[in-house]
Amino acid sequence: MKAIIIARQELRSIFRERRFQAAAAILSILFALSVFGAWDYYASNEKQHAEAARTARAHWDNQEDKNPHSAAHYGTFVFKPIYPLSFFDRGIDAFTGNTLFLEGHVMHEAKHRAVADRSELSRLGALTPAFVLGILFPLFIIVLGFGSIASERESGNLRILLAQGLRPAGLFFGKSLGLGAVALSLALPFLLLGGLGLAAPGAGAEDWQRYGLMSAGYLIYLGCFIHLTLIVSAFAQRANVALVALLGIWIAMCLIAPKAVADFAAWSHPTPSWQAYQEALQNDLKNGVDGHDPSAEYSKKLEEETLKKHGVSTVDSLPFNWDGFIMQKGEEHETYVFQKHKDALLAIYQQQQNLLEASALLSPYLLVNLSSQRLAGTDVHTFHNFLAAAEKYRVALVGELNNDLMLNFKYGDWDGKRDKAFFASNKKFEYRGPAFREVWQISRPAMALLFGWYLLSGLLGLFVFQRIKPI
Amino acid sequence: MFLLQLQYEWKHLSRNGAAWLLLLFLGGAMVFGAYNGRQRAARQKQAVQALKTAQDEKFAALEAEADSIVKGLKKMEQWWLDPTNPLTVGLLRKGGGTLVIEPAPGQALAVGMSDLQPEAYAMLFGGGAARGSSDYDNPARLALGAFDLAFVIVYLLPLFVIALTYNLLSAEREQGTLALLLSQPVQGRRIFVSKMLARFVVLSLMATLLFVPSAIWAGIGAGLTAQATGATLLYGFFWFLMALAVNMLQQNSAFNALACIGAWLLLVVVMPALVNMLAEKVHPVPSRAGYENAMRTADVEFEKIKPAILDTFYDANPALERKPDDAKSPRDWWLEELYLLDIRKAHVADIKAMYEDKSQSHADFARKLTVLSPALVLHDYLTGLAGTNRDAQLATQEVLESKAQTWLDWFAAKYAADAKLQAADYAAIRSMLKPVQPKQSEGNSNGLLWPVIYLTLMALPLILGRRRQMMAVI
Repeated sequence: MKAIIIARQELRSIFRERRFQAAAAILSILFALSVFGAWDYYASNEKQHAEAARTARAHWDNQEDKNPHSAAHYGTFVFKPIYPLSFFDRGIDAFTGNTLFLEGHVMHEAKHRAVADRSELSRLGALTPAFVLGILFPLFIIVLGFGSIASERESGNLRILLAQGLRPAGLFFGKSLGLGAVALSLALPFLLLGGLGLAAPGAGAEDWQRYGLMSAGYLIYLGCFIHLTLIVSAFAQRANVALVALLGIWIAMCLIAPKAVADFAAWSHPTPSWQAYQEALQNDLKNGVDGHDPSAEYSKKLEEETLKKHGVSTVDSLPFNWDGFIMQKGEEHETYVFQKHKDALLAIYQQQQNLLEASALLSPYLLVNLSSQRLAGTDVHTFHNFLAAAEKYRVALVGELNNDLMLNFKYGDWDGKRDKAFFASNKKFEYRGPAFREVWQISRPAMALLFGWYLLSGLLGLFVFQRIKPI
Repeated sequence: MFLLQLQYEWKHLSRNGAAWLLLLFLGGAMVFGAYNGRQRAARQKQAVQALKTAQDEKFAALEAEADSIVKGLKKMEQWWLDPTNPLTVGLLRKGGGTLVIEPAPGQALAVGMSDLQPEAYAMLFGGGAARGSSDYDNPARLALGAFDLAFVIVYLLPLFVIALTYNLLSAEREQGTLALLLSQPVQGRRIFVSKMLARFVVLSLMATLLFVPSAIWAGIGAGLTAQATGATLLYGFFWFLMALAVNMLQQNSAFNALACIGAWLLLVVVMPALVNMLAEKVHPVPSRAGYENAMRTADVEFEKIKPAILDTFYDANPALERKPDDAKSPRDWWLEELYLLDIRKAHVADIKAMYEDKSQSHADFARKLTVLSPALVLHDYLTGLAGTNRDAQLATQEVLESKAQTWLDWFAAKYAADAKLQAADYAAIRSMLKPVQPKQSEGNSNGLLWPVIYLTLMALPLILGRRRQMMAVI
């Protein structure tokens, strides 16, 4: 009950302060600007990517008559999907290629990173709702709460409060409730306003579920900062010392830690250079069937085995077209090799990611950033989910073409062609992105750690308040 | 008088535990930034060296094989593997030359766009292709940005200056020592100016002593370090004047701290994000998703006009016989393709230009907006100095494209003449493969103009309001 009274008092005194009015006004303007700036990000990009996907398919369907294997080289393009919540948190979107070329024999890298079309200034951040909630909102809490206990101590009120029999736990709960209510009075309208972005066509029930969890994540994160603010304010003898210390903590957690940890992770688990990656890849590719080089060692070996198996002496006596067969065998080997190296690279990313999560103790910002990106579909996992689906499709499409070559064309008949009707009947790329359940599963550890941060900082707050000095 | 003040400020700060803590923090950040710069430079040097070695080995092997073929010691059945065939060696998929790009000399100072810059440029028949380790970098790391010296200077140095200046006058007033100081038989203005200058000299000395060794250790040359130090001190002076201007408002230290941090937040954290948002709104850059489709559509159109273009080719080369497609030898086909290359390039030039123009308009507009914050002006200056900004990237790209054209023309001429590559040709090939030095951008757009304007703006309240404010303080 006393905690409620304290909370009400805290709320009233903060609301009355010009500092609150000024900070709330600035933050609201920035949030509104961020929503305005990001409002059409999804709609515009999604439209362009959907249009590009339709055009790419039309190119495939209407290509000139050609041999199935020539069509495999002609290839097609698929495009990174843009998710409705990407307007809220762009995550790594600008740093991953948006176009993937699919052709026989090769697993290409996605091309055209948006950041490459911008200047170096774009590396200094973008004003998005996630930026306002993750970076600026904690400052709002600090500015309002730094004197929460320190000022009471300076004015002598703290001694009176404690002398009146107020228990330290009650003081902590009251102050955190009060500060929490102030934060909610702004965060909730922000989150409702942010939700308007989901009114865009294409957003479904799952996106609302994701947004609900993202919002919860941000609220827990802000709760962590409320606890931290109270702890430091209780420690500091003077309000301006509390302010300076809190600002130091904010800078360390929100600005320094993300960059420092990412750099540290990269040096601890380095990714290979282009040359090293390609060298290893090409070496592995050499140790297998090359569909385009029948004289290669492994191709010769395969030929001998196949002839023996079918009891014939020449490839043109086989019951199928040897060209299609060897192309497919080569494709299987190439796919295996490309996948092997991609998996090794992803394992390095995962190690870096683990380090990032393990350094959660340093900063709850790392956790909210990670979970927000995952839920928004702008993280590494979602991007690689797309790449994996595209690769699966490439293998299926090229397999379909090789199969046609093997079963419906004669050996050596490279002039034989397929028409538009055949290409239009080929498999289509249909991709919807990871389901909510999968996203929730991978977001859970970061969310759980964030909640752990909230609980631990709360317990620490209780501990510190138990030892609070009235003077 | 000034020396006495200087001595006092030095003693005052050297006995201040918080100042030492801040110094330690800034020093640690500088060392970490410099370490990162060293690591990046070492990694890039290693990657570049690996590319050079691989290329040297490849061409040495090709040359030896070509020599054996020319001397009749070896036969090569498949033309696409023949090292005496200019087309195979110079332009086809498993051939081609690679221009290695040396790392920018100042990338340890400011990473800028260098973490996305390729280390090499492959010159192939279909055009150039970038080869970069950033293809395999974790995009999450790229998105978080680099912890480089520029980050320490642009973001953290102002905090250091603010922390040691925000209560320069307010603390004296709060402790009652300001009135005492002004009651001395020395002109108040002189005390004020000396105190300011002395504090700035001490801060500058600290910043320089931290920055210069870090920059040198990071591998940035002395010239660049000197220029960067100058810019750093100018930037630090801006924040010093800003903190003094806040002091002149005669509020308490907590207000001063909040006001200074508010200014830092606005100019260093919010303004860059705002500028990027504005640039995106005013000059949106289309997604490149449509780019490849547009190129493919152009290709389809080109195939339709190709027979007419080839008429010109055969008219100009009456010695060549025009054959139906199914009767063409690979050589017939490649001769046509080599002729068509430039025309094809011109055919898609509009598409490329459209994307590049939009991107350039966006970048130009964003750069114009840098005047809104000294942090942006400094960032722009440092990336320009380091040779890691967009301009430097485009200038290097221009060199690469020009060298690739020379390469293409050389091999096309050899192929057209039906020449066989020999030892002398391989020497010429090697000379075309010299590593490319990254280009510096041509000066910084803002130069010294904006820093001077900022400093004047900041100094105005001090100059105009000094006498009145000083009197009010007493």
